[in-house]
Amino acid sequence: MELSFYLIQLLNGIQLGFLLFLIASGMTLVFGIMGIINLAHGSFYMVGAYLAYWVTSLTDNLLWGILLALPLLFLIGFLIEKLAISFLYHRDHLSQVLLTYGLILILSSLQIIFWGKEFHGIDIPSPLNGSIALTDHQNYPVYRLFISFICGLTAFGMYFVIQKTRLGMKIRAGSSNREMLRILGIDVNKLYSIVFSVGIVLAGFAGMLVFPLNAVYPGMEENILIMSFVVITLGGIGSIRGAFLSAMMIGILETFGGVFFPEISSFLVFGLMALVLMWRPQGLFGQFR
Amino acid sequence: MNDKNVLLRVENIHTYLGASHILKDVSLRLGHGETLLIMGRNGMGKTTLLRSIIGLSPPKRGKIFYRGSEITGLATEIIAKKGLALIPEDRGIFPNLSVYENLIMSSRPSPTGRRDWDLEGIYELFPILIMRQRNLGNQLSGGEQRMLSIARVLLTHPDLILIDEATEALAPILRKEVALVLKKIKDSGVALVIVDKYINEWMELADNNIILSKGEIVFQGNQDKLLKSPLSLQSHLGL
Repeated sequence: MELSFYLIQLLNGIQLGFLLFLIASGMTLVFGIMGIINLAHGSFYMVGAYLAYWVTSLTDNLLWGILLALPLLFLIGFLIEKLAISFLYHRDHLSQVLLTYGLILILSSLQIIFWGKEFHGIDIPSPLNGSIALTDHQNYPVYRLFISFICGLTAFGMYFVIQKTRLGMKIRAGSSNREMLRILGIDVNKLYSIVFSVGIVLAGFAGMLVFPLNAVYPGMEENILIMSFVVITLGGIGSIRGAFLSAMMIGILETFGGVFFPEISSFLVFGLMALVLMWRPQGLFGQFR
Repeated sequence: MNDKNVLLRVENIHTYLGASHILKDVSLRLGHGETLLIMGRNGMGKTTLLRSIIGLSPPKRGKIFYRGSEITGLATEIIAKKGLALIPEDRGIFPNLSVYENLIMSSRPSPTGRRDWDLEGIYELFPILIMRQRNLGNQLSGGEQRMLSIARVLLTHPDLILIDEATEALAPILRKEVALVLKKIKDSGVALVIVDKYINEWMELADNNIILSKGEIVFQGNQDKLLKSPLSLQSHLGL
């Protein structure tokens, strides 16, 4: 096999890793800081994709589709946090699982009511619909590189906010001592609303970037939710750095595994998680609680 | 005390933790820039009193006023933004944030816009923190954590600092250092409510003293009155 074949798989793996990171980073923040197990997190990947598809259909412009869908999704996240999630902060994990499972059912029913059970797609706009020649015989789609580039920028932006801004410091502090945040005059409820809504936007943004490639369809979020749980467990709950590293590991392993060992590719991902958890039960960058 | 000079007024509060009646009819007053020392054996309600004032364990009955406005039942973060600060017994240092981040994450001017403290002033008061500014909170010694916890609340510019177990688990030399720092803070006009077992460190600093026993105030008065009440010291503090 040519070297370019491996390069293509590597690029695909990195792209999948970036997408998993976008989804899992929001999930790990919500779980690690707010203590909320949001089973419906993957559904917002689907909601983001459908919203972007809907606005793109209305405006006939993918860029506008994404730019308008993002604040819409933030608003949806904000309302869901206020109307549903905020009642779970002092409840046990069973209540959280029941309520967020209910959210999955509601969101998937709404999706069918509004858009039906068909697949919907759009054409990737020019100049993102072309390919780059890696060799004389091997090309790579520009749109996939675009996804990786945008996800990389988003990941850098997140790193900057979390590590270098006062908001990021408060978010990190919230994962270790919420009561102290309140004592210092920080509105924890407001912080939770922001974290939850941004987490939803990140998951939805991943769906928005992917839908021109894969179309939107019922059940598109099912596999991604399981993979996201693997990412945050492997990386360590609450750790953005851990989510990034494990998303990349899983993205690349899943892609190469799917090509070379298709029968056991899923086993490879879960096997890696099991091995890491045997060595570090708290995940790569997690802390014992 | 003239009502205008009163910074904090606690009126007949009763606080419960679950079914347990912890504070029983507690009342106190604290003037601007004054220091109050709260004493008592373990489990007598000292920490609960501080938590009631800051809103973490709100009283079921009674009222708390700060600068003349009632703060009973307000959320802790709202009370804190009015200029009250609490340094808890465990110091509340965020272990995953550096010393520098612990300091600046909550810094803000006072409700009246006062900005007496900046990082430079803080490092002058606590020179050890300059060398440790890149270290994580969990890499500090107990004494350093205590200094950091005091420095952090100073950057929120409070008018009143509540300090729980101010010198708990500190070596005698560090206890003296903490007392010296708090004296400087008092001299800057900040009122203090100090809970501590080592009363000798605070005899000069405290304007008023309270002894709590089983959730009730059994002694209230200045140093002279305290020293003239050996019965109070012996029976309630074991001194």
